[in-house]
Amino acid sequence: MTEQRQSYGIPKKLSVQQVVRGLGKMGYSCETEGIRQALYTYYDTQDGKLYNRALRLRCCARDADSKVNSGAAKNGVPAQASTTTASDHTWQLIRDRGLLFTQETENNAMPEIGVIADHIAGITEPGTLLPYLLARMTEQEVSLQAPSPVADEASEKGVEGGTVPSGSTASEPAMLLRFENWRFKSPFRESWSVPLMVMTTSAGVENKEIEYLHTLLRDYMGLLPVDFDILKNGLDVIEAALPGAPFPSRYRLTPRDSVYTAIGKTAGKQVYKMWGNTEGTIHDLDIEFLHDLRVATRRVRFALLLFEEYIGKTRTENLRKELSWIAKSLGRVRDIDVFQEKFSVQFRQIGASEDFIKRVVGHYTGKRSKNLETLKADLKSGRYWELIEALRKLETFMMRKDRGQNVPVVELIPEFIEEVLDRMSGWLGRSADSLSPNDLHDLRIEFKGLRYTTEFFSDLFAGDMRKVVRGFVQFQDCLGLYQDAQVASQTLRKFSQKAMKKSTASVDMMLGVGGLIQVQREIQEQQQVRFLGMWNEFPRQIKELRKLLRTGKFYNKV
Amino acid sequence: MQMKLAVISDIHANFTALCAALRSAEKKGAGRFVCAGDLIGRGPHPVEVIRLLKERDFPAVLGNMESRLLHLRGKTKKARTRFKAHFDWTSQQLTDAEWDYLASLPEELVLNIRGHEVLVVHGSPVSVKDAIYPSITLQGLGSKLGNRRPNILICGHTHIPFSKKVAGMLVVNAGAAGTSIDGDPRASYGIINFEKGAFPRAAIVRFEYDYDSVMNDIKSRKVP
Repeated sequence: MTEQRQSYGIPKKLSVQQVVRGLGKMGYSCETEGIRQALYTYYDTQDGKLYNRALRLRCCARDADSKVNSGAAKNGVPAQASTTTASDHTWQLIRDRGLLFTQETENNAMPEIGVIADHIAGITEPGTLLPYLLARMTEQEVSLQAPSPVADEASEKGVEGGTVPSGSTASEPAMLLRFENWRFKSPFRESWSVPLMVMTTSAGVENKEIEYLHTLLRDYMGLLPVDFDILKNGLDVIEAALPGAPFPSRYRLTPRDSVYTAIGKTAGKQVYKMWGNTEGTIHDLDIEFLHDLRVATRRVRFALLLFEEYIGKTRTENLRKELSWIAKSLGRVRDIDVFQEKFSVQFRQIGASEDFIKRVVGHYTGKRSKNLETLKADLKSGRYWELIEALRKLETFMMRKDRGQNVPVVELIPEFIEEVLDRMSGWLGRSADSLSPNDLHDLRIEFKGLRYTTEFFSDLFAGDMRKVVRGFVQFQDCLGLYQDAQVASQTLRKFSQKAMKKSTASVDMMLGVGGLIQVQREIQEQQQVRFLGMWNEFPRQIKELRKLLRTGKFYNKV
Repeated sequence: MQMKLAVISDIHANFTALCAALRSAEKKGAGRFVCAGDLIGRGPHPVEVIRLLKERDFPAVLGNMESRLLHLRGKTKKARTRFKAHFDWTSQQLTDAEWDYLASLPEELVLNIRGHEVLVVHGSPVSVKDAIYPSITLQGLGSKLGNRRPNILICGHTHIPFSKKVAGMLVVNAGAAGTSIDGDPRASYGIINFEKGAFPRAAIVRFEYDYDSVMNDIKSRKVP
């Protein structure tokens, strides 16, 4: 038989002794078994690969089990406990609260080889794991004896003539209560949270006594069952985002949403992403935190413009101005991250010397550090958090405006998309070879607008619409690569100009810079050809999109 | 100084409603409790209800449900099929401790509370299946009581709550704490207020409870 477990939240006003006494009044006898302590650190990737697969990876540092000194406690009065101090570090991989693997390492080292590392290597490399949550637990175990034994199958069997002795040979029920006192902490903050008490019942066998106990706890003691997930609940308590900062389901659009609700949800989603990625950016845990934060900033800034008519001109302008400020600060670091990523591949392409690589990497790393310090200060500033608060208030503001407003957003989506398509209509008449680099830059912004507009409503879209929207993403990606290469060329020129000014330019360095600039040129040519090939298809894609919008077949009606 | 007696009847194995009734009564200052029968039958929590009443030592009387159920004690599976399915299910939940408790319930209780004689029955003093409705007259009451004249008559069974004075006698039907049938979906119990120097007064209290939890338990425990 599998273990039956159920967790209950214990309100602050209730103590372990009160719960045990309450059970005692109902005829249960309780015996304290022992006290344990443990410290867990939960890990995941920046984008929550493990969390998305319902996996939990944690490192556990546990004191050895402690035993009650003399005599077991009875009916809510625990005897004095002592602890021993031998510690070990055990890695545990858990799915749906069931332990998949366990592995010990020395001194809290990440498991590099072995079952846990091998298992998660299919999902992510151990080196990309980040700590998300520290959870400290003190657990008191109490064994429970029911007031009267449960009827067993002997009473089911009859003998000829009628009566048999009823349920008298039941085995003793094996039930345990675990009172767990949890405190949580972010790995990057100083203080621990207030305690959270959870009680878990478990029974080794499937028996009715555990059902009776659950009814008693729920109805007589007012303890409600909870779905206790240490990582989820812990992050909620310390007000930190889940791994990958997945959007809460309340932001999912439905066909019944009015335009105000849709705007509130759209803004709310991106603000959530901004909030969820801020701490990771401040501590520079992974460059993708910054990337996600920057993307969210851009999207919400665009959303404000798109929905200005509903939000109000002044509010839109003020928020966009502040978003622009933080977007610039983010951009000054992000651009360098992009260069460094691309250069690390391109160095090999041009056969760059170690010395050159060192100079370029050193230059950009130094610049990044400087820009990052400014960014950190900006993200910790009152100005940034006032912006986040103002954006959150926008969500509430739009929901309030919703009252009495019944036009579903699905009726207005075609209008929003047509507005963007109208802006692009001037380009449609242009032939591919007439587009200059400046034109490509402007087109990139238009495609970004089209992509963002369609993606804002993507929760509602049917399969065909999703396919069309995916087609537009390729345009933006292609033009994005073109743009990145152009900016990289410019920054390399500045780098070499600076070196020449300082008279630190060497032949090796100039050849290296020249090689890299040539690579950027090749990239631009490739992307230009690719884009021009796709450009001829664009009018057909627009036609397809308009047909879906006109016929109303662009969204799922349920 | 006043004392309040809470009268709970026809729980029908609805532990959720019973706990809600107790909380409500305790909030209203009830210091004593009495149960007017039909503790079990049809509901999903017979064991929990019996244990609570036993542990809290509430005086209780036998109802028609208990009376019928006791016939199943020790019966074979074949014999039990002659009874309604919910009786069979209930009988399979009980251990000796619960059976013994039910078997110990009297058909009537006589309590002396603050000098007042209180007669507690399930249906009526005639039988557990007899009924006392709000329309009861002095004559009707007389025929059920015979020569007896308690100050207070407590009954249940009908699931129709009322309290009325009939020729100086207070008659209280607490309705049903487990299942309501009078059109008001809320369950009910009675509160009798004993004040020094005054005749006791009764009130019917209606209360809500977590109906969905009970329905879920009925489904999960496969109560017929």
